Amino acid sequence: MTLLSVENLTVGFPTEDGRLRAVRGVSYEVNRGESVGIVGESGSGKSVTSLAIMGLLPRNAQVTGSVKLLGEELVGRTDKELSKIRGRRIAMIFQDPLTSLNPVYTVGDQIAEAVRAHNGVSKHDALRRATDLLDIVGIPNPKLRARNYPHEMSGGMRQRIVIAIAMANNPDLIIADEPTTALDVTVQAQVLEALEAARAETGAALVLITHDLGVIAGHTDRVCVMYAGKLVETGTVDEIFYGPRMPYTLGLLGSLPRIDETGRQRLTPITGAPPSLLHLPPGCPFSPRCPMTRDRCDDAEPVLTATTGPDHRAACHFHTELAEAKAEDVF
Amino acid sequence: MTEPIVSVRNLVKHFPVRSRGVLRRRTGDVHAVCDVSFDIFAHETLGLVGESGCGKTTTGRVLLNLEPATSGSVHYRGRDLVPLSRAQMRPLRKELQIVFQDPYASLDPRMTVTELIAEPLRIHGTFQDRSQVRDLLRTVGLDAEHGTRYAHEFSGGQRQRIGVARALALRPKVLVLDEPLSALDVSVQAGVVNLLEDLQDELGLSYLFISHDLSVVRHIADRVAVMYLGRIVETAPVDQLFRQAAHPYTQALISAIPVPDPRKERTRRRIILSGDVPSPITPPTGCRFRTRCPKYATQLTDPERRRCAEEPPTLTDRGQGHQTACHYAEPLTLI
Repeated sequence: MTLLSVENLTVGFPTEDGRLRAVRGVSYEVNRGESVGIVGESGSGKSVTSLAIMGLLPRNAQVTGSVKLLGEELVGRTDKELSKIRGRRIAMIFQDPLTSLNPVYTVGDQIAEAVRAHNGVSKHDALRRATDLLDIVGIPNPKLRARNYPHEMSGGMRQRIVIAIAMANNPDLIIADEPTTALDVTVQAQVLEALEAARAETGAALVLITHDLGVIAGHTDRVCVMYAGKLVETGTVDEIFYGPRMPYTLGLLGSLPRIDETGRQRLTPITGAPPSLLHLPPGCPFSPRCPMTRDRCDDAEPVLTATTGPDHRAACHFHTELAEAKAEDVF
Repeated sequence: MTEPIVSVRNLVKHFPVRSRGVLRRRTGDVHAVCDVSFDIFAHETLGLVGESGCGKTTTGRVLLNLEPATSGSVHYRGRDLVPLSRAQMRPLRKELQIVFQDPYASLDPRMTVTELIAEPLRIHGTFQDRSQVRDLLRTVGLDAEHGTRYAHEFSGGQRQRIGVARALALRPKVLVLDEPLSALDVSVQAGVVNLLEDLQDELGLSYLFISHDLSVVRHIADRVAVMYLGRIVETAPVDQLFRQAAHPYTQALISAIPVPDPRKERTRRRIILSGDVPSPITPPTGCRFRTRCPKYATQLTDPERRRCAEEPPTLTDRGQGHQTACHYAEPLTLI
């Protein structure tokens, strides 16, 4: 069943040099309980997309398209209307937990506040629920820790507090934007485990935004690859990792050093840098960096088309040529 | 065996912690680096890995005498650098260079690329003409015509290449690379990794590659030293370390790294550490890792635990250059 449906979402920002097209027509769906990964490099528009879904963009942002949560349109709603949905139906986890938490309240109070914001429970009950939530996200001595302030906790613990707040009202959807990027690997493992625990407890669907393909591989069912404000490939996690049909995806996978591979096998970098979103070239935005580029690529921008299966789609004119291709042969 | 080019022995670095107020009495020490010893051989990459706050960056800075060591020695080609003054250090700086983590902060925004790269040459009086700079730009894979531009006109990967060109200008023998890739996107990172490998082959450089990213370290390093709370807990040739990690901390680190392979990820065993890194001002007695050690928590008997609490484990050789600082080390295959 479709929980979230994003259709032709665009986001533009007026700047002195013209309109910056941060998101250029993104469509995807999230089903109940599933986990969708959105992967892309800095500036690909992955964070702006999720902020647009939550209605959290600054006022000067120009948003068009449609975002439906269980059939209910979210684009164009007032902030007041959205605040009834945010935190209750959709919760969001940001990269830096310190900016999400209030420094002058204890973490217990902050979780209890989230509980009470959407439920008419007593303060006492809300605090008890806060302690339970702390226990679920793996904070030792939850009763004692509830009385701590954010500054008394480590980065990993703070992020787990944010996860506890996110799951406080049993949301249908959790959007996590680079939730572990600032953390060390062993702490990242703790936080991802807390996130999985939160999903198991609430049954929430997850949109996981990250640049880390390893995290995507282990924690998502389906993947959307973003480049220059558009989805350039979507599919199940296995389709994307074992049979990418967009040169960019192939290049990303080939550029990763891996701990499960030995020897000095040469990495295959993608040359150049992503295009400026102010002055996009006509045609395929990846064309200037693509080793397979031809005249047609600079004339018409490819749209997402079905490849190996109906749900495995790629935006490349020549996706059929990528069957069985290896990154080191193409790049 | 050949002589190491850099030999670090029993290196200690403590930073004083002072009280607030006027007196600023010394109330304790941050034990940033404790009794660290390692060798770097010619034409070799030693990976120094660990999580934030483990002392890996401080080790690199003390090695270059950018911070004075509290005790211990750093021998470069047989000469101890620790007692040298800044002036005495200067001629040696040509041979020992550093590339910093943040290519946005480490390049002066008011200098053109030519000026940036010529600066070390001018300081050491070896600047002749601009062709030197153009050669260096080409060496690091940049367009020689870009010398008139400023750092902000370049992308992160290109800036890091400028940082590498600056470090290479004086034809060093040893490069300390302090997290040189962590500010870069993956597709760009791969290009810099390839560049560093090519430069090492062409110029015969030795690298101390400091990083928190074990995937990159597996790719680039010949040997690896793992640090935890100021101490080296395990060191081994790279394949040995990843196949047969014997220290519980190394095992947890390796198991925590996500692999971009969904099938492998679904079946992998994760060792999740509990708690956080203790304060380096009051590190635990005995083994510093015991407060988070899964083995200490679940597998050891009480007398065994007492040994962990009382006796700090020292690096013991397990053969083939594999050393582990754990009383109850056992190799484990995790990948």
